[in-house]
Amino acid sequence: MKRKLLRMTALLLAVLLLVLPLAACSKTENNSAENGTNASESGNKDNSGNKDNKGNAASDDSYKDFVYTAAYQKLTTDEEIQNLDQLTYANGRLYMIAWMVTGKVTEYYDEDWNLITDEEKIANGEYVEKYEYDQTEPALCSANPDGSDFKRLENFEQTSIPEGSQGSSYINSLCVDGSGNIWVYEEMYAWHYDENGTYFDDGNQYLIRKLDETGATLVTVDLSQIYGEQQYFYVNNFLVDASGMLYITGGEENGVYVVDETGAMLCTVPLENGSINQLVRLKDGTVAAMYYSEGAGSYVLSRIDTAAKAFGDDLPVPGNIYYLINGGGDYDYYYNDGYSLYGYQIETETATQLVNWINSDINSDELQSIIPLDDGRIIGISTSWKNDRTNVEVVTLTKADPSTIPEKEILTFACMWLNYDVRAKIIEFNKASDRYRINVVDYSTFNTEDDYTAGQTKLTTEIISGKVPDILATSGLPINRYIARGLLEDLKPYIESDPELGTDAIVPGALRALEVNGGIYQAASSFYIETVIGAEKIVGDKMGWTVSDLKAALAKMPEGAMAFCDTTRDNLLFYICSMNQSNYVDWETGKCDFNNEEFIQLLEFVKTFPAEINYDDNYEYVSLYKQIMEGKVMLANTTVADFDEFRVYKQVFGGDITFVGFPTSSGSGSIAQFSDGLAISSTCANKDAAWSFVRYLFTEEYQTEDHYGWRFPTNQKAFDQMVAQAMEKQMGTDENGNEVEVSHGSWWIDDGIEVEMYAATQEDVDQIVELINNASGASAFDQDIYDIIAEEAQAFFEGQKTAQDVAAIIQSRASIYVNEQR
Amino acid sequence: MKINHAKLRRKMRGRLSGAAFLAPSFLGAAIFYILPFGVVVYYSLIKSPLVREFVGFENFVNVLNNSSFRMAAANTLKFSAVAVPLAVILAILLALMLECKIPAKSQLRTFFLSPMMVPVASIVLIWQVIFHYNGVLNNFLSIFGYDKIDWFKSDYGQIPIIVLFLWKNLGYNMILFMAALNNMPKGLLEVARVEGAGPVYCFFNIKLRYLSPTVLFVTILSLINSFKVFREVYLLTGAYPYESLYMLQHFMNNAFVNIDYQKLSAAAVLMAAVMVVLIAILFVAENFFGKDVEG
Repeated sequence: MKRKLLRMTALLLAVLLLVLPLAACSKTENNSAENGTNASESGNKDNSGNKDNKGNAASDDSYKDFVYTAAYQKLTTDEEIQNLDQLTYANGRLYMIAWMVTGKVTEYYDEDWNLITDEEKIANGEYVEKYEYDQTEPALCSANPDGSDFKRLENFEQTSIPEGSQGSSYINSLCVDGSGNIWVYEEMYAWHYDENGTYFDDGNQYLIRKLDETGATLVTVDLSQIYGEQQYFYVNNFLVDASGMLYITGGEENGVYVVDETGAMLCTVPLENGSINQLVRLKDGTVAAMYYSEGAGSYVLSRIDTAAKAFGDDLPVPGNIYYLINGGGDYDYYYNDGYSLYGYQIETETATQLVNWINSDINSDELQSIIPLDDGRIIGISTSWKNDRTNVEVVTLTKADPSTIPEKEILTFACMWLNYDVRAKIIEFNKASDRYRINVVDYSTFNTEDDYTAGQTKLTTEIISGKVPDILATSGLPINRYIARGLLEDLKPYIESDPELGTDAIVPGALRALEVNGGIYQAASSFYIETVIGAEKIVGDKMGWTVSDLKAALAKMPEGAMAFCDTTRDNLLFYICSMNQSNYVDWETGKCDFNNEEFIQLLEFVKTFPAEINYDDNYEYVSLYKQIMEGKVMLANTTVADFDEFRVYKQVFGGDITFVGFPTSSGSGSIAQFSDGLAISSTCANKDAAWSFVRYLFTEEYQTEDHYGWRFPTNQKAFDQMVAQAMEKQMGTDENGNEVEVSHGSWWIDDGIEVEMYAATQEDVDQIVELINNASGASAFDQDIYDIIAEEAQAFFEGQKTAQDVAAIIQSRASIYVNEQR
Repeated sequence: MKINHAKLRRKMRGRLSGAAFLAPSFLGAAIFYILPFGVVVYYSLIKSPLVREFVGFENFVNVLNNSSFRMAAANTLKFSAVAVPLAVILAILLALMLECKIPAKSQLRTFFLSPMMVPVASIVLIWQVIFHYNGVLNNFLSIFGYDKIDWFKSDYGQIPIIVLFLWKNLGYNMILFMAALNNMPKGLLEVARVEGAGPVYCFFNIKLRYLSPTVLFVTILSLINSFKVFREVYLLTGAYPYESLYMLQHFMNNAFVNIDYQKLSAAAVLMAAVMVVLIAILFVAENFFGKDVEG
């Protein structure tokens, strides 16, 4: 019996030993309030908006749980609205400040950009520039949630300007209280000119007014008791709590003013260290302040304790969130991280994802003034730019039934931060495609303060485990490494077989710079060239030169002249390594050759530059242009992204210029850099679908849209259009009425010196095209080899070792690195 | 022959209950050791994590043909061949020394054990101060007219690392030998002394024989620890050190960072195979030398 008991006890202990460790693997309740949401574990944790996508498996349907359908409604009004602001909801209606277009203003400027007010001159066409814009005025308006019955509040009147004065009054912000009353903050400025034209300030007024739903004023609170003798006063934030107390921040004092509705000051709650970013009303009607705490080194949320006249305990806020939305319903407050809208419960420190914008085909960059309603709907304002006009609409979002969302094949998109353009294109693709949709995973959301590469590590680990995204945004990713491992698809066949593109559709220099080992692994819409410019009479007329050539040219300059302006050793070493690495590393054979005289000369040349530029109080800034004109600097290290700026240097250098580049033993010394890029993984199951999205970067349509390219387009036709625009002459009339070419702008060089920009000549264009065609691609540069060179070179720069010793160490370390990769 | 069914049943029951009690440990070992190693072997035999095509020994051939791998293997072998014997021999000598009647024995024991408790980052800092090109040691040597030696970036690179390894591990090895010496039958040594055996004869023919299991254990432990020295080397010199300090772990760590899982797996399997052979040799040697003293 005893033996049996012993055995049973031993067996039980063995089972416990097995089972107990498994108990630690459970998911906590807090993390899944609504169908697989992400969680903020205890307050200030990293923003993990995409963790609920769980690594973007192609068959993952969990995205449907966060889909809302959007109904866009134009406000029913005959008036033109330029913008809506400060959207609030009360009494079953929306209240907002609407910027109404009241007319058009046309201004005329002369060649010196002085405003012309003489009507006769204008009538005669004696102006260089004509600038038209809408004249607007703010109006307090309301509408139904569906956008209907939009009207100005009939009984609202802005504070009038005192008689005898001129001026203006503006409504800057508004909010509602618990009883449905509307509160507005208004500023009124008044002034007049006497008979001599002397300006007199007639005093400003800062008011907070309580209005009823028709706009009639119930109470006016004059804020003069707050700002008193302060010279500069403004209200940054104001809110009303459930009991009707006003909370105001602004002016020169750092803290919160608490005022009752009669205007009587109840208390001030000072803030010792930090600055208040925002006031937010929580679900319980209390008001909290979001401020940057210098002590904590982060943003902090605290309730305002009017009894204690102090800020309460810190409340949890997800990391990297700087703006909150007033609470209501089930959540103490809401926040939008650009990818999703979340509701947050302070007691349980849980963030619950409500809406995923991209999955709902909503561009969150166009969304503002988001208001979650108690019935689960979400209302906001959408502002977009279409057909050269601002398009303002009210958006009502309603949670979609996941079963009604059509099944589509998923393409996963991996990025280290999603920019505005790509986000808009993804939404456009998802709306247009019946068969595919793109799900985004932004791996930068996994970075933490302690480990800023955590996101990249996670992506790498997922790739190794076989979970490879279909499309990758190449910015911030080790693309060369991925190419070497065969992870990326060669896009050349897709470009060649594309009915609209073909390799002839791409600028040849850009195509060559994009090539890596004969293949093209990323699509890019624009590029710029990093190069060095010098006077042709000093540096010669050929692109590319060696360190010896540079020294010889420097000898022609006045004594004391520098090669580059304000350039440190590290800067120069970086650029020279960028250009020259392929001369010292043979990836085919695995041989490195740093132990040669040329590399040693290069190190010795870099050593002549300062370790750092001393920007202390004695530093006197003199522009590069001026230093070149005075013969103190020989070269200009610059980026070339258009047909204008380099022509400034012709003036500055006093003659023809040459894109001589950074010193290199072969090549032009210039390098092409691509700003954006998308790649397709070699394991993508739907490569044609992925290409149908990625290809937009190469299209003429995209590259000629107004999306702030500011660089050379890669599409040949778009490039030709840019050339045509640059060569187009702008005509005006001179004082004799003759038609003459006028400049389309000017570049400031120095005090009193400006360069007028006229149309580019064919010679200018040819020079740029030659630069582009001879620039090398950034793929030739390996960061790890540069790091080895930079690290070892320090000992030489500091005089501890000879250049030969350092070159030998670099040779050893670089050889190991190169041979490892083979 | 009559089969005793009851006895058979008891035996089966015993084996089953034994297996049941062993199961959790075996499961743990399988999940955390055997299975992952199986995955590594699998990865070493396929083309890539994306294209899981069986390629036989192609990855192994690539690794063996890689000059960086060969350099790393040679450096690791050289380091282990020098450091491990030194760690064993010096530990035995220290144990023998502390076995004698010397003053401050306890304090000396603590002194030799304390390096084990020092965090890696502190060790690295101290070693940088000592062995830096402008460090304490070079300044000391220059007093006597010697040129500075670039300890970490020259062919002398392994010297500071061997010193570091010995400094860190001698204490623990010494304790193991001291325990083994304490357990030796004193009577046998007395008899030997009475018979006229000298201290050297006693040591090599009696003490060392009795210490052979401990020598095996300490050698294996030191061999394993000699691979862990990568941690300090990585902190001192980075992912791509000078030739003399480039070890196998550098090669494998870099392969992981470069997403070259095939190279990494093949190198790991090769290294494991070499370790198995080395340890097998050690076991055979111990069996031969220690057969008199073991049961």
